[in-house]
Amino acid sequence: MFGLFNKKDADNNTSVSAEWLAQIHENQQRFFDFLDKIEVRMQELTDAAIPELTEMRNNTEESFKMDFHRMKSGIDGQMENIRKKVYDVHDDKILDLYHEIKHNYSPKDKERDLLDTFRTDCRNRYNIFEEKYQVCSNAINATDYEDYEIAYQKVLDEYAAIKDKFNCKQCGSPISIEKIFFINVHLNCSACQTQNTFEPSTQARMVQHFAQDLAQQRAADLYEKYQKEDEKERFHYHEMHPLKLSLNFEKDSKIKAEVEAKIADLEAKRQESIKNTPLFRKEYLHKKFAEWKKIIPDLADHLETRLQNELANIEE
Amino acid sequence: MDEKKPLSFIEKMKLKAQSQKSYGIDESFAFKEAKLDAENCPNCGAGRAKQDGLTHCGYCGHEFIAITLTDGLFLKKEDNSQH
Amino acid sequence: MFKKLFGSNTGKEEVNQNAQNQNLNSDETNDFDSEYEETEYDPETLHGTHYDVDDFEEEVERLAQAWIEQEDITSQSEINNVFFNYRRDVYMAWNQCDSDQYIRFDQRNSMAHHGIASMGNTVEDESNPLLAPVHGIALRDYAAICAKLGSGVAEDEIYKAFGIDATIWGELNTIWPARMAEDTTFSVSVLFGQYFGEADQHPKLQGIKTNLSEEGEANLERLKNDPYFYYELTGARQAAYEYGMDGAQWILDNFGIGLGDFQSVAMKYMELQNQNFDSNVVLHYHEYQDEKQAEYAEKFAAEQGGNVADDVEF
Repeated sequence: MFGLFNKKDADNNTSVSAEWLAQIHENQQRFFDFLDKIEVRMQELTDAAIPELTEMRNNTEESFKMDFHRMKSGIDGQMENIRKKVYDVHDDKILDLYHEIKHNYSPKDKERDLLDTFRTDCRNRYNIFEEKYQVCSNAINATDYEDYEIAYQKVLDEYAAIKDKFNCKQCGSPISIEKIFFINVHLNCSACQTQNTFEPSTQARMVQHFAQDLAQQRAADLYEKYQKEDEKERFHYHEMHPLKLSLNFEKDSKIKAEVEAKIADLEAKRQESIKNTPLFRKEYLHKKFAEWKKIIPDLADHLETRLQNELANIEE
Repeated sequence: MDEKKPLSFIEKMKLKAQSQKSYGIDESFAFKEAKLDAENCPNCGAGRAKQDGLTHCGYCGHEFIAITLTDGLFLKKEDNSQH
Repeated sequence: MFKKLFGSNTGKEEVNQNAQNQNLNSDETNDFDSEYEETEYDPETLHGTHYDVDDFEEEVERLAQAWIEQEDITSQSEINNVFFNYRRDVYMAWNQCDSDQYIRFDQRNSMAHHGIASMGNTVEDESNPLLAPVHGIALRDYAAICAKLGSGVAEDEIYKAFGIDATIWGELNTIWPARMAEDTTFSVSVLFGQYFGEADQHPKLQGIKTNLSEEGEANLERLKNDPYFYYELTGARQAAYEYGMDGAQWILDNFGIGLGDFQSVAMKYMELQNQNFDSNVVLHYHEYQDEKQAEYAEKFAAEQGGNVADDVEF
């Protein structure tokens, strides 16, 4: 690929090294410029997409939001396309060059350091791109949000409006709808005993499908509390790690004792997190399922089984 | 490089997303109101009463549904006709 | 520790022919010679026939318990892992086999080893209350109905074939998914998938045809018989979604195949892949699918006037 390296002379690499030094310098510069440009483009795409996606997601006319999902999927595809392009360029212009130089010149000492620094600097710049990519991607994903209380409130309003509106098809006596049904149900006329069939509206049928999301939204506070507790374990572990390493070189017994006390404190916090995490998870699950059952009480038994299954999976 | 590229790009993509048909969904039938209906026996015209069960006509024995009901969500074993 | 390593070479059943030929309708099997075919395997359990299954279990138990005691392991998930590792080690040592053979064995015994059903390796357990028919409609019926509704067959036509109505269907379509969600072994979902793949063979659906065009009919037939065509369309559908199109609709528009029929075929390929697990074959088709997906992506990109960052170059 880089034909200029073919005339290598392994025994006499001092004069040639200037050649590859210039090459890594150029590729690094071009890689950084390339990322600067593509990050701008990625941000422009994100900024332009978010208001459109938000509007489409909230559009009430299209009940299944299929146009939103197609659009979102197309934007995700473009984001993926950008990410792949960066991956390929990094692979092709940085890693391949690095390996080629290493293979052809076997640089040592200071030159080896320069070559490794080239790779590390590019890798670090690549990581910055990845972080920015995540930020954009999360912002795009956040447009796929619906406050299910709104949909549920519509169902409640509809129920209030229709529950006493129907009459028996046979004798005309009133038939009241006793609760929110989400599938067809046969209702008996108390006057003439005729079986009438009640067919819920499209939005009432959806209750069964969004009930879990709504319950999740209602239990979001406890979910977050559980997640935060779960993260503490790793966090404290990583805090302890450098302290433990520092002990290896510490001669001063006073400082040593202080560091050990700090470690003990962090370990206690870590143990606290290990103890609390399953408890907080249970707390969250209880709330979520209680809300879920409130929304669709007809499936309460089924939901209780699922709750028990989830609880049984938690190791304490 | 066109400064407005992502913007016009988004416009085009939006048009594409909105102009397409969605698999298996007919939007014109998407929203249905709640309704109440009753069906008479297509064979003898008799109404269907709760005590006759759901599977067969209480008068002429016409089969409305061919299966035997078990205990489901709202439909129960007792809803089978005793014919 | 090693039992009789090599089984007799007579009467060997080639139950694990490699899945090079994943042709759904063809009986011919490709002789993709395995280096490890000296061992004879029980067609049901995939244990080597040169040892006793009880001895095998005992050996795994002995090694696992010793390790658990030595390391003082108490967490159930870690204990499961120890068993998993020793089961693999003992199986591969006693049968002198490669990891693909071990994976086939592990998949076949997934329920016993992991408490989880495996696609293509699960049979219906009649004593399982989660599998009892609902309003006379068994899981096999329910799966077939879903497959046909997914390919655009009219609801009324389906209801008539099974002797049900919209009210009963509402219950079925609530209770069966609820059972799948309750089932921690995934047996109900896995069997649903297996039956979904057999929807065409359902006796009550013989009179019912998906409303396919002649071209669609031919393409569906090809999809069943030509794995390359199947992986090409799977890649194409994925690419379509990535370019803001409804992939299922795109397949219907361009190849005349409905999603239900397509997924039904997909289940069959997934089953074959699990039953005849061969990492080379999996990789081969995977690469083919990626290649095709990239080809279609290029085509779709050209149709929309390129990708948003095409002009940003290194």
